[in-house]
Amino acid sequence: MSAITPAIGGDWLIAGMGAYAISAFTATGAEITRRPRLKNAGITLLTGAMILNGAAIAWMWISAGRAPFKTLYETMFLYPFCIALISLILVRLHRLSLLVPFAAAGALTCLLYALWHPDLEFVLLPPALQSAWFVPHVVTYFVAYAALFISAVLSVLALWKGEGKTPRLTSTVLPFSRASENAAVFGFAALTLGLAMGALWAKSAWGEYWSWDAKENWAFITWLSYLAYHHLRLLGAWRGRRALWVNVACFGAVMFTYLGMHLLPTASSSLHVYQ
Amino acid sequence: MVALLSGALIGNMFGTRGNLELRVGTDSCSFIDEDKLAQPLGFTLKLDKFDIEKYPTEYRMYVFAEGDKRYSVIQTASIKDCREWIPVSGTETRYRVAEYYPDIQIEDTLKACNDPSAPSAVRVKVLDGKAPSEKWVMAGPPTGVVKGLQIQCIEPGGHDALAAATGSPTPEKHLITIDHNTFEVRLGQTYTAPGSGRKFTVVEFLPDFYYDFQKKGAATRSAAPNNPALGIEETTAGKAEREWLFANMPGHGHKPEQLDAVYKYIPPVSPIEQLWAIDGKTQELIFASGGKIVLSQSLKAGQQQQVSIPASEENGNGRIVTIELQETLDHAVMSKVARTLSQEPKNPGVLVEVKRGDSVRQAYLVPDADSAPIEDGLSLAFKARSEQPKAYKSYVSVVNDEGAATQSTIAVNAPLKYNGYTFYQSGYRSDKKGDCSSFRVVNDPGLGAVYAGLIMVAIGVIYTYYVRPRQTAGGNSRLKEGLS
Repeated sequence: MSAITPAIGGDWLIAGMGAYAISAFTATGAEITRRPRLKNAGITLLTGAMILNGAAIAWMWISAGRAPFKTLYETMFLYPFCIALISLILVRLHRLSLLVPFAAAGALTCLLYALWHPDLEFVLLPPALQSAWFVPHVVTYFVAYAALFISAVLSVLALWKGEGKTPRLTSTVLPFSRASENAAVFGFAALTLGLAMGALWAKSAWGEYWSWDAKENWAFITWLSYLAYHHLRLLGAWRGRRALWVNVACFGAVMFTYLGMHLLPTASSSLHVYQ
Repeated sequence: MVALLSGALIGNMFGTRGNLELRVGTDSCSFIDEDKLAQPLGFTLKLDKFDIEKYPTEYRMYVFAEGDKRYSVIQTASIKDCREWIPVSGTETRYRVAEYYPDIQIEDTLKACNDPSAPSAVRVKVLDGKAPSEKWVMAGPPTGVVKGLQIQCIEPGGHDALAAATGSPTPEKHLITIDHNTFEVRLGQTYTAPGSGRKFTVVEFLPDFYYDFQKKGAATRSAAPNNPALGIEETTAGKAEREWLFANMPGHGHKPEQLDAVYKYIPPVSPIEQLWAIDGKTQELIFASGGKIVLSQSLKAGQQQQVSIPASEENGNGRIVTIELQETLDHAVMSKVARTLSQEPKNPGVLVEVKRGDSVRQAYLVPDADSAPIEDGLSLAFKARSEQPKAYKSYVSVVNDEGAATQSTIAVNAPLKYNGYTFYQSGYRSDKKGDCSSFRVVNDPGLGAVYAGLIMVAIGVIYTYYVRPRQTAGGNSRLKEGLS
């Protein structure tokens, strides 16, 4: 047990926070000074932090004797890992090093939240979650959420770098908006897959695809909002800055689906709500 | 997409779905569909057994913080991980589980200590008939060791008190304190108060005083000294004024003009006929009877002494028992000692050590009982993590037309497929008659089409977003190459 926090895997949590903080700090410094070697160092440090994060998940998996994706605390280890992974892939594809400090900060925020609301002991897996679908369903969703987070960050960066109030996007902004769209496409595909897997899991466990549970409904609302975004960004009037705003708003729906379920009156009966 | 929707549609139109509830030992060849109609299955499903598998009980240590209204857990660990010192978050204190007892029995015992004010103690073995018993006797009042025999442990110089305890009975005493002077009074006598010189007469004693509102006077409820009251009378100007002094309530009902006296009641002492005693320090065995020390001899550890218990109403015929001195302690403190009765986790308990600086405190803890204090507002508890369901399992037999039975199980996430029907574990209930398991019964011919549709949608998405753009991009570049 860590002397700093009584959380399970407390030492891993503190180490992971340190690693993400150092990479966020280095990458921010690199963007301010515009030194390429420092940028590379930021990317390497984020990769290292991601590997450490992966090791923490592996440790929790072995210690709990099950996939550590049951509680909110546990997903706060999975989510930063996915954020780091997706952002590193995008940085490699689009050469947008500006993403690195934001990804590291996002990952750090997750671990801070975990430190703030720690699990003190492993929760046992109820019968309903003991299925081969559990891991792919949850991991696919978190990959989707990570991609959509990156997409929203890129949208905000594009809005921030955009000049004045011109709805058309300029050449400095275009790489960000393109990368944002690509991340949103990938995130939407993963969201669709996660939703389909959830439906198939429900079918195999209860005989019904859909049971109108609060989280299911909000996941569907989130999916519909991204569907709307992907259509709107192709329409003339909604191109450019408006589409970027829609993307950011859609991520708000993701966050509500992820964290806001306990605010709903129907939450107590849901299988999806984190205790 | 078409395949997906058509699959769902087929499932909806041609499929049937419903519910089936079976009590353990019963069977059914039909289920109740959505329209509350019985639908034949074409085979018989029998529920042989229903079982809730539980996760094994886990024993854990919890550190609790005392909040405004409730306790909250601030940290916890499995007892397996508590063999090493564990820091308590936010404090300098550490704790560990020093010993784990699967089937704990905690007994009071005495152990030696260095405190010179602590009383001495002796351990004696008593052979009364077949079974020998061991008992600790601490300096103080006599302790019963076997039926009819009390042994007292005395300190050197305690002989007189021991003799007096077997002496003639002492009657009750009434003591009165006036102006820091205490003196014994008797009924009917007149006394002069020291200091003021006021004269008063002790007129009445009521052992269990109450005020009788019907008779409008003081009375006693019983002969037991539950509320001893002493009535005194003072004559001033030829008029007798009565005042009640209460031993349990000094000053009760006292008026300023009345005599300021404090009353103490000492109940009568009926002595013990005879008493055996051991002096723990000088290792002497003493026998007192009739107010005198009758016997006083050295008794070494391991040495035996026969003691006679006289015949009485309580003890029946007199008998002889043997006492043997086992151990003496000059200064003893009461402590607890634990052992395990078996290796089965029937009644688990732990010995915990809480360490702060150099001081280590020990405590025995059992689940859902007292906790051990750590420091201000923090305490350590040992708890069993309640058994939680791991699986809901129905053991069923399927009997087909030819009467051949196949045994199978149905659980959440593990439905039974048979002859086009799928049985899902959907619930259970227990009542006086036994367990009852409920199933969702679904016949869904469109499921294959739904799977196919979903796979096609997935391929379609990948094709639209990743394969086609690459092809067109490749085509464009080839076109450009061709042009240049």
